[in-house]
Amino acid sequence: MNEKVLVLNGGSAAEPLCELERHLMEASSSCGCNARVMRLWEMSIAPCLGCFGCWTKTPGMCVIDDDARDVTQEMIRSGVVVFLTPVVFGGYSPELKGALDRSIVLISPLFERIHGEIHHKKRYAEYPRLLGIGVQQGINKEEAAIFDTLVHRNAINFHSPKTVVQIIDQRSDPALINSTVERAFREVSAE
Amino acid sequence: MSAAGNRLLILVGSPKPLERSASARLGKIVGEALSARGWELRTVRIPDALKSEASIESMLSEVERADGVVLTAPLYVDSLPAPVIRVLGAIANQRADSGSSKMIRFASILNCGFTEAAQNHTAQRLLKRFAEKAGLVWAGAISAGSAGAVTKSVRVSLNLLADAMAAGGDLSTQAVEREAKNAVPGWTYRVIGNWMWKRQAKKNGALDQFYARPYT
Repeated sequence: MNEKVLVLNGGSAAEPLCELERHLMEASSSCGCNARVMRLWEMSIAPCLGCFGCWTKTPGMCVIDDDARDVTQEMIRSGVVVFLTPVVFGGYSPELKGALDRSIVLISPLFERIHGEIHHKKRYAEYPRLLGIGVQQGINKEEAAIFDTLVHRNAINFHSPKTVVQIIDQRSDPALINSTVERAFREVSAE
Repeated sequence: MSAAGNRLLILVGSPKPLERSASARLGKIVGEALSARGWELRTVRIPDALKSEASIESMLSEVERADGVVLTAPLYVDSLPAPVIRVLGAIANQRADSGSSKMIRFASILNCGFTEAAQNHTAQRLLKRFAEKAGLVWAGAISAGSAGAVTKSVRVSLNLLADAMAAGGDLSTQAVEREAKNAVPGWTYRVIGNWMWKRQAKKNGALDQFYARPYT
C-alpha cells in the first residue's frame, strides 16, 4: 500500500493525543504510506451554518472560507482517513465533529436507498477508508459500543469502502497501545 | 407534584434563527404543553450560549435553575452538531465540579433530514449516556424524520413527552422513547427531495455546478 493517509486529530490543547498521533504516523510509515496530521483544535473551523449552501449555492464547497475547506479537500484526496478522538458520551470530540459537520460538501444532496434506508449519493467517484480511534480513560463498554456504531454509520453516509474501529484505553501499557494502533492501521489499509 | 413554580429550559441546538428552525418548532410544542400546565419557560439557542464565557455561565445557571431540560436539535452527520457536544460537556463538567444533586429531568428531540426517524438512534443513545454522566434524570427521547415535519404522529409524541416531563417523580419508569412515523413513503421523499434540491440550486444560479467536484 502506498497512498495518502490523513489523521484528523480531534484532541484539544488540554488533551492533545500526541502519543497516539505518533503511533499512527509510525504505523502508516511502516506500511509505506504518506501520512499527514491535522490538529483540528489549532485550526480555524467555524460551526456548520446548516444553510446547505455547499449543495445549492457553491456545490461541493462550503460557503465559509476557513480551514475546513482544507480538511475536506485532504479527506477526499486521501486513501485512509483516521478519526482520532477522545470518546465523548460515546461520540466524537467537538473539535473532530466540527470538522465533520463541514464535510457534507463531499457528498451529493440527492437521495438514494442504501441498505433499506435513505442516504445521500456520492459526489466523488471514490471515497477513503475510515479508521476510527476512540480514546478512553478506562474502558466504558456502553460508550465504546456507541462509538463503534457511530463510525460505521458515518461510513455509510461517507461511502467509505472499508471501516475499522478501535477503542484505546489510555491507561494501558504504551507498548500495548502502540501494537493495537498498528494492528488497526494494518487492518484498514489491507487490500 | 405541583406544576406551580416548575421551570422548563429548552436548549435549541440548531444554528438557524429560532423562527426558521425546525428544532425550535418541535421544542416549542413541548414548551407550550407544559406552559399550559403552569410551567415557566426559558429558551436558549446553543449558538448564542457559546458566544462568550459569560453566556456559557448564564446557560449553565439556567440549567441548574430548571426542573426539566429539553434539548432539541438537528441530526448532523449521524450525531449532534459540534456546538451541542461542546455544551453537553460544559453541563456535565459543571454538575460534576459543583457536586450538584438537584433532580433535573432531561429529554431530547432530534430531527433528521432523512425520512426514517430511526436514523437518530445513535445520537439518542449518546444523549442518554450524557444524561447519566451529568446526573440528570432521563425523561425520554423523540426522534423525528423528514426534516422535522410536524406530522400528527410527531405531535402525539411531543405531547406524550410533555406528559412525562410533567408527571414528576421517578420518570425512569415512565420514560417515553418514540419514533414518529415516516411523514411520507421513502420513494416519495427521494423523488420530491431530489427535485427540491435541484430547484433550489437553479434558483441560486448554481444548477450547472450541481455535480461539481472541486477537490478532484
